[in-house]
Amino acid sequence: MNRYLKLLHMEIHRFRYILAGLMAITAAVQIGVIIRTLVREVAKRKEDILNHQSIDVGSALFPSGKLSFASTMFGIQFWFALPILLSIAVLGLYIFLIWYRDWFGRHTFVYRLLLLPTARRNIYLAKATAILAFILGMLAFQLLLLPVENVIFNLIVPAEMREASYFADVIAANQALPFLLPQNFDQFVFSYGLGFSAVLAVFTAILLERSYRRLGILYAILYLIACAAAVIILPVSNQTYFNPSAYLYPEEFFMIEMVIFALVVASSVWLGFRLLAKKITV
Amino acid sequence: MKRYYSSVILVLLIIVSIGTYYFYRSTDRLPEFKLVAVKGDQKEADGIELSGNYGARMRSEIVNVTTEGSEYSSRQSMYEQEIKNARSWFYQHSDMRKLVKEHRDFMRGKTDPDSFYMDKEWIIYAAVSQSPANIEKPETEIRVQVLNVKTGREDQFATIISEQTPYHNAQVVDVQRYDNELQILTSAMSGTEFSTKFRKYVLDLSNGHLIRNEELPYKFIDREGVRYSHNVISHEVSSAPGNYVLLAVREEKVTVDRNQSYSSQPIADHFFAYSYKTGKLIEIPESWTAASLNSHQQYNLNGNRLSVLTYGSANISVSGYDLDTLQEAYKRTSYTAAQLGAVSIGSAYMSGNRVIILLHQNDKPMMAVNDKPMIAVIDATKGALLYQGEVVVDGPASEAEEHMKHLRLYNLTPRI
Repeated sequence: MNRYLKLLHMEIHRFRYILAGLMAITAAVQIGVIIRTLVREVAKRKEDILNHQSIDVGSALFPSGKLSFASTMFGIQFWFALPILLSIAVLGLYIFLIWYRDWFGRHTFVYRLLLLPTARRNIYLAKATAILAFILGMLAFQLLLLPVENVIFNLIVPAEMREASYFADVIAANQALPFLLPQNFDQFVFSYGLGFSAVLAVFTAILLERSYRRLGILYAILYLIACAAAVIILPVSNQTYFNPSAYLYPEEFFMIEMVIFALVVASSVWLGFRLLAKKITV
Repeated sequence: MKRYYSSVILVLLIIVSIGTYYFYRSTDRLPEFKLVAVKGDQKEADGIELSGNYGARMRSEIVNVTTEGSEYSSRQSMYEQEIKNARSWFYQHSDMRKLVKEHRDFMRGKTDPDSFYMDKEWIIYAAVSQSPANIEKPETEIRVQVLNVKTGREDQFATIISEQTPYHNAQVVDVQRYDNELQILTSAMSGTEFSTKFRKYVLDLSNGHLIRNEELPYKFIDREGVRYSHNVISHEVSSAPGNYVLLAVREEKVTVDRNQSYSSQPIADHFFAYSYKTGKLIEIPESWTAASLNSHQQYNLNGNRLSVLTYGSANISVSGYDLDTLQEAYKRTSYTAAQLGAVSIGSAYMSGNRVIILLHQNDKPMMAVNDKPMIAVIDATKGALLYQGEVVVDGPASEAEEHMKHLRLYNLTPRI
């Protein structure tokens, strides 16, 4: 356990600058676009008041016409989502780099890693946990950033021009956030569990390639196809929960899919451990 | 320990931030509503559900209100929304819920409530299909699955029937059993006359052999400028034994404008009761259904009794007729919205002898602020007002008015 935690810390430590960089970019872009949007909007509204023009023109979603943090989020969809998409892309790329940097780095770090006096499965588990920690860490940072952005909103917009927003409305206002932060916790666990099982399947595919090199690429592709086929076999055979004439009841479909996911995760982890312990040599 | 600070901070950030967020989301601060009795026994409203939305948020929240309280769809877990509520349209039928609960394996893959027959001894499911490719020698295939409730024995058979003319889009509209005769009523589009035909296939329940293949004496064929649409109303509990089905035919005038787009205008409604026992199609007297074109009209078939519920914004009436004698089964009952303590009638439905009515305090409840929806329950056979209830805020009185302002309830359904 101690060795695993040390390896996990090492993986986090190695990614710290990139993670901090992604957080800094996210904060800078989102806060920047909020300040720019609000300064312009407040100035325009003040000008309208001076010109005796009506400013409180509401919309279907924001009937009062006053400025709210939710309405501001609604108005900056692209720029708000841009750093989120960048972070997703970087983390997606790092799922591969977390392994390949050990082989292709300046000093072949993997030699030292594999010769550590600990079970090799700890390396696999540490890398998998690190990826999960990076994803959830970025998500947690985004959640922390929202109240800060709300404070900035309150500092820029005069009290008579603004109205309070529900936090749920702020999340719903931006198209990217409801995907990242589902409304219900079970949806959160399901979505991120699904994503994490895909990460584990990719890890095993990478280890297949590292174990068998050129032939390993074929094995890796076949393994990923097998995993995807196992997951989609029921929906493809029209046994989905929304097909009214399906033989399976919805709860049975759900249970079978959960078992399939568990098998994909178990087989990925087992094969990953085995490849790392028996096939990869230095 | 100091060297692990960055990892510890990251883990703490994840736990605190995501934990706080989902704890906050679980306490959504949405107001609670409840249907309470103003007059009569609260039990009369136990089987009623009102649905609509609460609009004080950026995106309005879908809410259901019953005598037990309110339920927001946003509070449901993903499992409840996607899995438990999948096929909810099927489980709205109380008999289907009972069948799935008691005969889960038999009910697999069967989802058409009209295709079931159920009595104390038998549960029967019938499905129909055609061979449209074979125009020269048209055939109909009827597949029947039978469960003997007493013995638990399951049987199935398929019967191929040669037809004189081809049909397509066939569907079972009702299934009945008389002793050893299984009567399957189907509707299909005629391949030669381009109109709906109703056929009854009578099979021997013990072996699936065809006993009779009858076309109902029903002659409404689309012609230039006139189109007919059909609706089959079977027993209130679709799987229950019954002697009649009601065929409702709407005659529409079809016009085509310069842009080749079609529009239709209803001209007349025709109603027929089909008797399984006699095989006759009885035309329903026009006086029973006179207001069908100009107001909402619902038909409730219960045994040999047909109830006709007619309502508009200002008033509601219900009449009952005996299909065996073609006489009045009970006296016509009529109420105005004002008599029920409201400004307008939103919707209504019949359940057994009861008429359940949704009432509003405005002419345009979908647009109105502060509607205060109400419910009334009437005994159709006696004409008595059994229950009056209203939706109230289940919380502090100081916030009630503000919350009621944003509540719009416009759907009335039996509670599942």
